[in-house]
Amino acid sequence: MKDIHTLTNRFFDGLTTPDEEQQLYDYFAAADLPDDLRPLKQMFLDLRAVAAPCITTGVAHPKRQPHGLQRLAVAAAVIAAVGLSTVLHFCPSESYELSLYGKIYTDKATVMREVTRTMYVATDHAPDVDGELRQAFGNY
Amino acid sequence: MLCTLWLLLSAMSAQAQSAALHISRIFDGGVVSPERMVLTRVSGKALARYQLSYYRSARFKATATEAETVAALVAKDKALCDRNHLSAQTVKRNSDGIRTESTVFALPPEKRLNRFISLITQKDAQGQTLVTLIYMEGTVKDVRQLGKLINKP
Repeated sequence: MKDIHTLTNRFFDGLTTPDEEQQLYDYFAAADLPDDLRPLKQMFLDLRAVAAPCITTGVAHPKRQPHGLQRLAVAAAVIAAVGLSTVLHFCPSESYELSLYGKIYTDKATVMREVTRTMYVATDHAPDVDGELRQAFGNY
Repeated sequence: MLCTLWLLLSAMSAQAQSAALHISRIFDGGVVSPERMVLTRVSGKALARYQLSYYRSARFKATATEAETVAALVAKDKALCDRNHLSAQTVKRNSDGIRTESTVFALPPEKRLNRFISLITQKDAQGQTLVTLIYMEGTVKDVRQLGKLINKP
């Protein structure tokens, strides 16, 4: 296994392979981490959670049903559609889009890596609001 | 049909709020072409840990003129800044001679969602400027809380 700091840097540069990413997820799931890597633990745990493969199942074709049941099924479908659309309206759907110098990516892991990177840039250089408030009101 | 319309409305509402701002011109490639930028647009539960529902960012290297245009557009939106919320601006210079200017402020809430803009420009000794612009919407209370959530281990 490559040195964990090297792997972490490769991850943030978007250069890790799926196997290397899994190594990172497994490493950060461990209890003991060095102090400098501990702030990244939650991020990798979150990414590990969404990196699990999806399992899709086939859909069986329904058998023909009598007219009465058919109408009931249609009514239930309409109600479900209205209910689902209402839920989705108040719980917005997920979408992930990254345009990397014109090349589009829509997979969640790739997009969230860039989101994490920009968030860390923002907070690394963020104004120290707490510090400024303490400075401004420290004499009161 | 109804379902599709509702889904479209949901997705469009977040975009519409950011489209109404001057910074949307930056995200749309009106200052720097998209081929020179790293752009993200995210909505959904991946942002839930930050108490955000919508996130949009642009990261690019800018000429001096482009950086000034970006700053001017952000300043126009900052004029709308909600003075009931915290905002802050700092300038730092590190040992490599990189001058970093950082601005973050909240806009008036819309549809019960708080909105924030963050602009970070990092200018090196050779005059190259790296710009990172972020627009966020969510239930997070203010900039200070957002910083805590981002840095939470």
